[in-house]
Amino acid sequence: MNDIISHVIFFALAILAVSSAVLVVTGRNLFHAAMFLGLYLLSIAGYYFLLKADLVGMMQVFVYVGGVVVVLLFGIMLTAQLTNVRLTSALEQRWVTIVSLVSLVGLLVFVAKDTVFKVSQLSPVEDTTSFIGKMFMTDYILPFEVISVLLLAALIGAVIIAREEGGK
Amino acid sequence: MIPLSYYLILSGVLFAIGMAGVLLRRNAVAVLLSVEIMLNSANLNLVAFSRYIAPEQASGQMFALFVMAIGAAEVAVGLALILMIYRNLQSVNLDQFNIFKW
Repeated sequence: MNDIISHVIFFALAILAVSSAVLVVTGRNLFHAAMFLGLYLLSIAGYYFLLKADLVGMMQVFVYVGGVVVVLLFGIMLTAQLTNVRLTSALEQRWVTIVSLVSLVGLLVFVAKDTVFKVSQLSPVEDTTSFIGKMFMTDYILPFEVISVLLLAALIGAVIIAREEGGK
Repeated sequence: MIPLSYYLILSGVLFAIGMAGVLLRRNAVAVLLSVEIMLNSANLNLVAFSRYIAPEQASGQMFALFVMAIGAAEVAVGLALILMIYRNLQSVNLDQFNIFKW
């Protein structure tokens, strides 16, 4: 891809991601915050496509935008206090937050801008879906099985925790 | 090609925004939304490293997929916990989740 075009895409997605993330954090209406979270997740999916990680980008759209955001919307609506007025959320402990954020970002930028990475010139995997599928079934078989058991346990646990006590 | 440090700085900034949400918000669901922002910024980092350092192995993409699975499980369990606490306390304000406080 042309270098200028990819830079333009990068910065457009950066503006989209940062502004939607800020809106998620500062927005007073939680429903809108969840919608902006969806926008943020889509812009991250755009970065995955830019980085030639097609399968991860598709999974981002399916799992996060299609699944997690919907579950979070359920959570927001189920915990909304009777009148919708109470869907707001106040901001507190500003100074601690500002100090920790400035130090964190400062440290990360300081480290990232001077470090020299050994950038590989090899071309990325073309057919990511079949490649990752093969890796899951060969080199990563143990983590794959562990994570499937973990997901099952987490979902059953979530059902049991959220069930009405003494329910039928 | 876009320098790798651009991706690192971007994901650092996004992580900091998510952390601001975790520290500032008092609504438990809003904190969960901010945790999702943090998880995704870390994921972006993994995929960027995979693309630039070892593009022929795609190991960062594998890790990103694992992180997604963990994130989905975390949301399910977190929301179940919030729902149960909401049922008991009639509130999702984290400052009121102090029933264990001595």
